[in-house]
Amino acid sequence: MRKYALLIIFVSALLPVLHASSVPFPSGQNIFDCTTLFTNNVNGNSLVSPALASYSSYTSLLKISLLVAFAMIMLMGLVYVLGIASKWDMLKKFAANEYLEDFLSIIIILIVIGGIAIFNSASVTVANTFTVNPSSSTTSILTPASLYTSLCSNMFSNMIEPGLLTEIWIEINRILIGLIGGLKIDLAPSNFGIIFVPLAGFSLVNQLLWIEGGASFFMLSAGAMMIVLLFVIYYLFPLFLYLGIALRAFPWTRAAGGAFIALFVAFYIFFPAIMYQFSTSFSTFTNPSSSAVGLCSSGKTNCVSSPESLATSSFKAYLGVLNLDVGYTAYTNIYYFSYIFLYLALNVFGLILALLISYEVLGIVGRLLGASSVKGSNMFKKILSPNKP
Amino acid sequence: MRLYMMNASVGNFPGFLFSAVCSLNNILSSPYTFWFPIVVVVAIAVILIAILIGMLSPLLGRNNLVPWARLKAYEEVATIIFAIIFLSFSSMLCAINPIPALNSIGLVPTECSSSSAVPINNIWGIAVCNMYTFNTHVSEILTAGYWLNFLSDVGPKFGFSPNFGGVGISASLSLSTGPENLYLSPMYFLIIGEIMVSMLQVILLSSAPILFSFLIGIGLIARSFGITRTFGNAMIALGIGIGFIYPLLVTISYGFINTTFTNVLNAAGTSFVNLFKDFTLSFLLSLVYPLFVSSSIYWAAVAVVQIWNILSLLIFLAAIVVMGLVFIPMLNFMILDAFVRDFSSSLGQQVSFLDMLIGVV
Repeated sequence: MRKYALLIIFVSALLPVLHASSVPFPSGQNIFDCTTLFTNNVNGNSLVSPALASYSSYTSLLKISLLVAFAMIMLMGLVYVLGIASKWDMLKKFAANEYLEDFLSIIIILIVIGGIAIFNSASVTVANTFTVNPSSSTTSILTPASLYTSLCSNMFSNMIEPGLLTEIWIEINRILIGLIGGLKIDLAPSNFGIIFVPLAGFSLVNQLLWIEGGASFFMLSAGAMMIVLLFVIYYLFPLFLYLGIALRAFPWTRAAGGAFIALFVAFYIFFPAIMYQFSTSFSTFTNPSSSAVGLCSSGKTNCVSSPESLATSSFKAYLGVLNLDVGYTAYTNIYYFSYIFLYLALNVFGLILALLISYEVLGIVGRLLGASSVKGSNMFKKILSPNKP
Repeated sequence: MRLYMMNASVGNFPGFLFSAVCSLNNILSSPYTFWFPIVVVVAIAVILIAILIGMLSPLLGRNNLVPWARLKAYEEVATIIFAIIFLSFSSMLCAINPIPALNSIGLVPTECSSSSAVPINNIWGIAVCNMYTFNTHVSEILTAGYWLNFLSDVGPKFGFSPNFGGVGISASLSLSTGPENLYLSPMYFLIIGEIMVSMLQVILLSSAPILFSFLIGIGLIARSFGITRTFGNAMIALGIGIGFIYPLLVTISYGFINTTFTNVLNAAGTSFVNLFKDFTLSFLLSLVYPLFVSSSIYWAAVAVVQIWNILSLLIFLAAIVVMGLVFIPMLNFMILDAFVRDFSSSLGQQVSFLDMLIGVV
């Protein structure tokens, strides 16, 4: 009986351990891990409707667009015949022009259908064409989801992770400095006397920490906003393509349809592809395994090779305060501070440049598709022909 | 809590914003669309005058007036066609219920589904409901931010002050550094500023059906006369833009934002339930028997990961709301402006919605 009781206790002790070890660690459930974000599954919850995330949902829209374009071609044939019968050249010209425009719409639809069938999207082709992958560990881009996931992961490791870790360490530093700086020496026998706060001068370091914390917080927020922007573009912008194709079928809404298609091409295809290029370059630049170029290329010492080392090095620097070596602390503080700004500036620079190029693409594609209102920044035009107005 | 908030928002949904403005009969008997037949009458009158001028021109020795009269007659035919098209289009907008189509790609939030307290069955209704629901979400985020603000002072403070007869030292360790105040307060004020744009959008959307029929009515009448034709074209483009394209854009974009908001909240809820389970199991196991300590450490580690998961979801939620406050209106107005410019220029007179808006502001 005693043996059985011991066995039951042993088994009851072992079971939870076994159960615990059999449960997968839920690291993949985090929304900023990006795989969950663009595969549309977080803790078993879909972030958007599965139908919205599936390209097959749009094929029916493409068929409708194709049907409208063919119907308009037939109608224009009728108008052309009427123009011949009434000997009205303007009507004939109008019909011929409309015929060509509808033909162009059909070509666009066929390209989109072909793109979905072959590559799942044109964005993959653009990303692979523009991206030079110096690191062998770079994820190969085969689908739009993998492009957006890789870009999102890069944004997380380049902006959110360093921002968050640095922010945490800065707050720990601030707590410690608050403790030291607030030390009081009371010399007040009989409730009357003087009080010294000899280390209150540390407030200077505290001010630097406030600014540095602000920069880290901005980097963290900008990274989060960037990922949400990618999320919106990935799931929402394909609708603009199909809306644009449908609007292009009618003469009065053709220009507006062109604007919609231009928006899709610029922001769904070009923007992530260019951002991916920048973010991969940034990762290479700060990657210690890269021996040729970058912050931590061979032979360079004291480099900050990763967000973790940035945060912990920064923390160690602040600990210099405990040795009362305030000058050294301030110096190293500014040194690591410059790294945070470098991280921030490089990422923001990449983002601005990608936005500018995409905006330019928006103007070029818009003009090609007859949307005169979509002007773009005309940046390339100004660079290539600076003397022309 | 979430269900309570959803029910509350549905219950308080201001149906007066859109419920009375759209039915087939309302549109057909509206004082604005009532002018559509007058457009046809005016256009026919102008055609008759043009024909008369064309017939009399050889007698007057002005043969060059014939092509002019023919052109005018054709333009009036176009006006009649426009009137018929827009009348059918406005009737169709009320008759067609877009909710099933939008539902098929998951762009209808629960608050605006057909089972909601206020029946919604047209594009204008769903647009207003989406915008209103988004504003409700913003107010939820504001409330959460306000309570988060209190956390900066909730943290404990530890102090020691050895003192002998009034002579000694003292220091205090505060875990509240107050960064929330520093960084959240500018964001808080930014959000409050942006909410005004959202509120104005609700007003603009609720007046969209009236603007649609009013601007197109004016446009068609103005188009009937030669000297006001370009102005009429501009009004038609503006009416289509504000009355149809803008509600459509809001329906799609804010439908996406609202449904994502709910889904992210659900995912956070699942994470919270998992966290509760992990934490409870870990706590109970560590109490029962020391051998369970190893597994309880594991469960505690899992709980830490779950806390980070919940935090990341909440950050994402706030970012989605900021996106709806800043980026989406910019995108919608940009597309609307592109549409109005191109549509109006294809009719003859280019007009810019954004230029007008900036001029008014």
